[in-house]
Amino acid sequence: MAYAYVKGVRMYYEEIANEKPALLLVHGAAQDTLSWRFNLQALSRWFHVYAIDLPGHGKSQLAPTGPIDDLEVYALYVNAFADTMNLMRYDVMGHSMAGGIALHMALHRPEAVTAVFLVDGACYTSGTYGDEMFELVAINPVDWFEVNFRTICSRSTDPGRIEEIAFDVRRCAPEVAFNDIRAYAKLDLRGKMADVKTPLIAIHGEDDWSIPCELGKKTLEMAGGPTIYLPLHNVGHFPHTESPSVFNSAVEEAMKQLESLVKFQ
Amino acid sequence: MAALSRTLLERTAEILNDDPFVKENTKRCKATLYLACENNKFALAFDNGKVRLLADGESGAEPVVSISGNKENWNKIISGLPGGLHRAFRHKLLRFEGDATTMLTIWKTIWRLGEALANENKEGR
Repeated sequence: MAYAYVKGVRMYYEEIANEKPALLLVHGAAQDTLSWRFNLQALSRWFHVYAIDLPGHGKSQLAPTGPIDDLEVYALYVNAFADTMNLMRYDVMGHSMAGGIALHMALHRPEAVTAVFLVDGACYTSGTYGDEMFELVAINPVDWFEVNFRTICSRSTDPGRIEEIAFDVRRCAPEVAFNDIRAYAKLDLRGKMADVKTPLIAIHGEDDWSIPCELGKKTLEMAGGPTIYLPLHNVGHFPHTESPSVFNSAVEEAMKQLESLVKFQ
Repeated sequence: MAALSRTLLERTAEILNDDPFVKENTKRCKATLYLACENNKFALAFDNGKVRLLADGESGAEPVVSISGNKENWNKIISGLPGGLHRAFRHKLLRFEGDATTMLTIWKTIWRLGEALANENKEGR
């Protein structure tokens, strides 16, 4: 557990240090590093792991401009975090909205980002968020988000685990949660996906109706580089938390396939 | 075939009265939630943690929230569409109208209502 000063913001991160390639873990909307609590050790088998709290989340300070409502701005912070850690090359794993952050990072730094893992992420949204919805959600974003999180888990998920996921969102400041959803709603990188040449791995819960598998698959189809798609049966929007062992096995499979891809290239 | 009916809502109101989420969410709340499916209209009254299905023609207290839509989309909720009424809001399957502050105040209750409708329909009690 540590803090780094990134573009003037004190950012919290957790690290499992070793000599392996670096992996930056970026949580989803209204969450923080705790969302990776069941995965850090498993991921350290392949990576020197850094899990960060985005500005305004968890134990990180708000950005000087307040809650961020743009995924590209978040991406600039995460790339700057990598600079602070003196990382020249790194993989990025982003969950949900942070899939968009990871793609922005790869577009900004194609030479540095060596692979992108999308965990129930995509390069665009299903278009269900509009101004009318934001006006309502703004009234009580925490309750709305909590219900959202509860309902996008798989029905197969252990109820205790769903309570933990619901607890994640109750820790988040309402204005930060609200701006996260506004940031996510603007995501549309379809026109730039051909420029994403870095290997792209999508790990996607099949029971996720919020960011359906189709969006993950279409994102891969649009990518300009090699791709790997790993759907997870009986898993919803939070594979790493809902079914950590299934998710960690999927990462193992992804690493095997990635190794083959790299050899083939 | 699933249908939004008075019988189903009577059973659902009983379930909601025992639901800790609903008790907590409505414990300081007075409101009426209208549920409209084509020509059928029902009303649930929330009064400080208690839920009651109003009689036909009985008007509920202000503030008022309503959820309305066609039979096809209500049947999706009653048949257990994952995400229930929350998904119906996000995907615009049903219309959510009325007092916005009250609607978002009772959002957890609206979610539980969708779950209860689906569970009661499945149980067929």
